[in-house]
Amino acid sequence: MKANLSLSIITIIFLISLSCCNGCYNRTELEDTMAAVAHGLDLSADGTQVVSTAQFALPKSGGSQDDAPKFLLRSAAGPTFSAAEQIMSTALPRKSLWGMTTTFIIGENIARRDIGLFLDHLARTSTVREASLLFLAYGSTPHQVLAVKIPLEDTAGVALSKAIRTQESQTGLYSPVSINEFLYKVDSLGVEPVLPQVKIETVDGRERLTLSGLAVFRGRHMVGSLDEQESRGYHLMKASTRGGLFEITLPDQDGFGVERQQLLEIITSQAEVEARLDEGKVSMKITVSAEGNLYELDMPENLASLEMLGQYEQLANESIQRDVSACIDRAQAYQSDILSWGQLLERQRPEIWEALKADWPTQFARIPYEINVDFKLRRTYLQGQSTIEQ
Amino acid sequence: MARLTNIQLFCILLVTLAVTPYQVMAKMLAMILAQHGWMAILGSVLPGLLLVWIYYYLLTNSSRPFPGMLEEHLGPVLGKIIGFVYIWAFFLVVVMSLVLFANFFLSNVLPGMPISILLIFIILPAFYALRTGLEATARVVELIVLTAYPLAMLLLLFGLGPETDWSRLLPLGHFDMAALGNGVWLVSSYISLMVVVLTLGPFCHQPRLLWRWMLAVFGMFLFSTLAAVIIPIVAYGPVLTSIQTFPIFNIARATDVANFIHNIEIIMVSVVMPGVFSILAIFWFVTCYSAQQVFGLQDYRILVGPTAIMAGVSAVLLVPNIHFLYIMLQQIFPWIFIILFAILPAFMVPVIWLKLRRRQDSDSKKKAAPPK
Repeated sequence: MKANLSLSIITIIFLISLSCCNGCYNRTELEDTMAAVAHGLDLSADGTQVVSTAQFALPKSGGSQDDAPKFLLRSAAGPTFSAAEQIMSTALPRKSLWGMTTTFIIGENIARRDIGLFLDHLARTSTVREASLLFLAYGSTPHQVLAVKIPLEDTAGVALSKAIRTQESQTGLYSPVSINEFLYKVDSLGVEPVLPQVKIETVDGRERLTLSGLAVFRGRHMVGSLDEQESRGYHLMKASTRGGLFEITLPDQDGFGVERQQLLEIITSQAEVEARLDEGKVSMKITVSAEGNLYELDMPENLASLEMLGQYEQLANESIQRDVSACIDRAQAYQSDILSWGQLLERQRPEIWEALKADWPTQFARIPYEINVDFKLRRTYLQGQSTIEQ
Repeated sequence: MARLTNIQLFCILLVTLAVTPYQVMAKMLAMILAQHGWMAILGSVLPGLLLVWIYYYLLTNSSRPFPGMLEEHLGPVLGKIIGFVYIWAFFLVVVMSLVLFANFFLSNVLPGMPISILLIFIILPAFYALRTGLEATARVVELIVLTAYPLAMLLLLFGLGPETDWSRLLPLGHFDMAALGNGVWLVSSYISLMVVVLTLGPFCHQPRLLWRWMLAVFGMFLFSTLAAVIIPIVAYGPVLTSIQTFPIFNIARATDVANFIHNIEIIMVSVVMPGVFSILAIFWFVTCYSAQQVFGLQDYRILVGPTAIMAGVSAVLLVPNIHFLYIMLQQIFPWIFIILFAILPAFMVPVIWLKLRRRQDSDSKKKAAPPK
């Protein structure tokens, strides 16, 4: 009885003392905040400070929706990104909610100078979510990219994250790169990261954003880019992919001198890489197995012929081989192991990796490779033979 | 005397063993062994089984709960001196659990919250549980294990997203044997927290069947710790796992199930919180009960209030920063745990065996001697 009484008194004192606290800790009221949906990280023009750019989503106001601004763009420079954000917050009426950011745009300047300048901000800050996507502003700044108005979407940040997810299954060129994946590749030996590049194009006087190539990194710097063909090759070198279109060129059979393009679709593809050791020299054997459909014909052909389908498959093999080879050649030219061959060596032949890892970029550039592709054409969609042929 | 069912003791032991490694073992083993951290857990199977046998042997050959059994086997003077040391060792685990959770919470969830307020929030329920008694605490722990343990495992499985790469566990060979030994030693030191069974085992309905439950707990510990160590490595790789402060929390942060379930770290915290309550309440009880045994007090409850204040103050003073916390978790606490919770009980086994042997000899001599 006595114990219960003392416990009750302690509990009451504790509850009363709670009234002295000034509310919930880290409390954030929705009406006092503005959510940053995209975040740009770059270097100032003189290279002495970092520039943080934030795209804040504006709440929908009443009345005419079309003309109302949908986002607010702010930039600030500082010695670190957090310091720049503090400076930015002095000119904002509401508290910035950084945890809502799903897209990060890295400036080309900072990527070429030193990615270490922004890595810590991405890895340490608790408001940065590891699943957010990274892009590189190619030939422009993050501020310019985020300033572009995208029809149908309220902000460029949201549009970019939707676009890269949508195109992956349609064109098979680029995959989303999350902060988690980027940090893993930067921190690990025997693999280098890539980032999808965003380019500003002007069409009919209006700016628009397009995904254009992949930025290639070596160590702490961006060293170059992969073009569209090389990017497809990179995509096909992944262990497993789904979706994507590619063209094959038929030989000039009717003698008119016109090359005929046929569009094929990849349903699934798997790539296996095997490290081989021949007389003390390392080489790589890449095997790509893919299945696909005939998507569109430039010139109608008689598809009833198995021979013709076989020819398509052979041409598809050659096309995929060219794409993969272009990617490897470019990566070796940059001495950047974006293909994670170093990790593969470490896992398959650790003793060789131990000997090579000290000078891996140079060693990687010299590794010979062999590509085998096995493409199987499965279906021709709604028609077998061409309508014109009939 | 309070009574516990075997399943309650099972839950208590599981919480005692699994909660701390769930929070920190992935990082510590990644720092020592990189991607081979899980091998240290498999390597600790033999030391773990040995510990289970040692504890069971002590339980079945003692009439008093720990640390009373120290006086029973080592004599009253030595027993009381060593028992006094154990009071502080158990209290250290209480403080460690408090500090660890406070850092876990303040690093990730509410960085602006004063640590004193947070400590009060953790200590108060445990204080209430201890005042209510061991049976009530055991019932709460039982409920916590039944609800929180499956959820904790589920949250880990959610971490196996599309970026999971099982080949990050390779190559299997090519690791430093000294590092593996260090890892096994570390894991074994946290297995030795099962020492609470020496105090709580005698409260059990069927102490003779305890070995089954202890083995079951050890199996569950191996499973949950393996999952907690492997999943961050296949999700982040060994380098990132070793540099993150709490990789398990990052798993919850990065979880995205079908673009639908995400931002679930608060669920992770709400799972860890009752676990911390449990380990805190259990070791706090064992601390107070040990003090009652050593000093011959009538009731342990009188010590709950003063030790609560001591625990709160010690938690603030013991660890100045999170870097030092990991040094303690990796280099200081394991030594204390191994010496006090593993080596000393192991030393008692031959002492008891010799005593039993001597008693048997004297009994047989008495029987053999002709009646006068």
